[in-house]
Amino acid sequence: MRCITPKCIEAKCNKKQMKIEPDTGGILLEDRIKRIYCPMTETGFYILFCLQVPQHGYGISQQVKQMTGNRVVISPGTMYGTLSKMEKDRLITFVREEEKRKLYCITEAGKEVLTTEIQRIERLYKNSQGEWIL
Amino acid sequence: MDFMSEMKINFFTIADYQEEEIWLREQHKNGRKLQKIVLPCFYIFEECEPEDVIYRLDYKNSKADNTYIQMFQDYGWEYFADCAGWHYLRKPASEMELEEEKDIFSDNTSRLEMVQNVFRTRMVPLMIILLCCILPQLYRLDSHGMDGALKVVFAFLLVIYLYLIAHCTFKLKKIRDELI
Repeated sequence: MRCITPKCIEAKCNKKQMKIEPDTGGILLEDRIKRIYCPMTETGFYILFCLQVPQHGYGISQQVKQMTGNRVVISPGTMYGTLSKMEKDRLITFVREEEKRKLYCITEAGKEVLTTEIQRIERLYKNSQGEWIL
Repeated sequence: MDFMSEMKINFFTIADYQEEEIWLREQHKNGRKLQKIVLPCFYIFEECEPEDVIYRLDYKNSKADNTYIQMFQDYGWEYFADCAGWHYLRKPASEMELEEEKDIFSDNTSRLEMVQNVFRTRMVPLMIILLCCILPQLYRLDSHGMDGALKVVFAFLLVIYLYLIAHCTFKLKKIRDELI
């Protein structure tokens, strides 16, 4: 996974992180978050994936359209609602405002959810190819 | 109101927003562009060039903030009016490259959320008002002996109220079931 988030923004993103599990050093995701976001909707996945770099809603939707050859379209109502929900659930955080556009970036908890989801998709893919995971 | 404006009366309930969108699109095709809505049922139009413009209603139950308006503007949707928690948006059909861009929602999860939000913040209070205020009040008035004419008026209002509640509940449920 490529992440080109500048250090300063990364620090800002990590500010509102979830409870740290003392034994493992990892992040303990709340059950509620797991229930809602694992597995994720396509919209949710692409938004989290794109927010590894700070962006605003329309920017995300343009990037997703390009990445998927116009196959995945995220409309403004869905984008606005998902961003607000993810911000409330602290998977993403508000970075700054640019010309009335809110820029968001993924948090540590968001990264955890994204990694879990990518592993799930990898497993699905491997299994679909007849490969077993031992 | 200047001479270019025209007022039309049409009544849509909170569950008829899809019909309202279609009606507004028809109006624009006939050279009438919606300017604003005055409760409960007055639509103020201004004359314009006939054009196929898609109208969408979003329900937020709050005022639209700058980032909300800007987000829709980025996508080419003009936010031009709001009325009792509903936000009115429009975009010319000619500017839509893909079929999916004709809607302001791209997945059923968010469509469903809007319907549930309408139900929770509009229907539930209406039902509570009916059960906790109107019905007990009617019962009280009745037991005190009410004037015949007044009784007819109250009965008539109650029938309208019950009809609207039933209509909205069934319609919202139907929309919801189509989305699940």
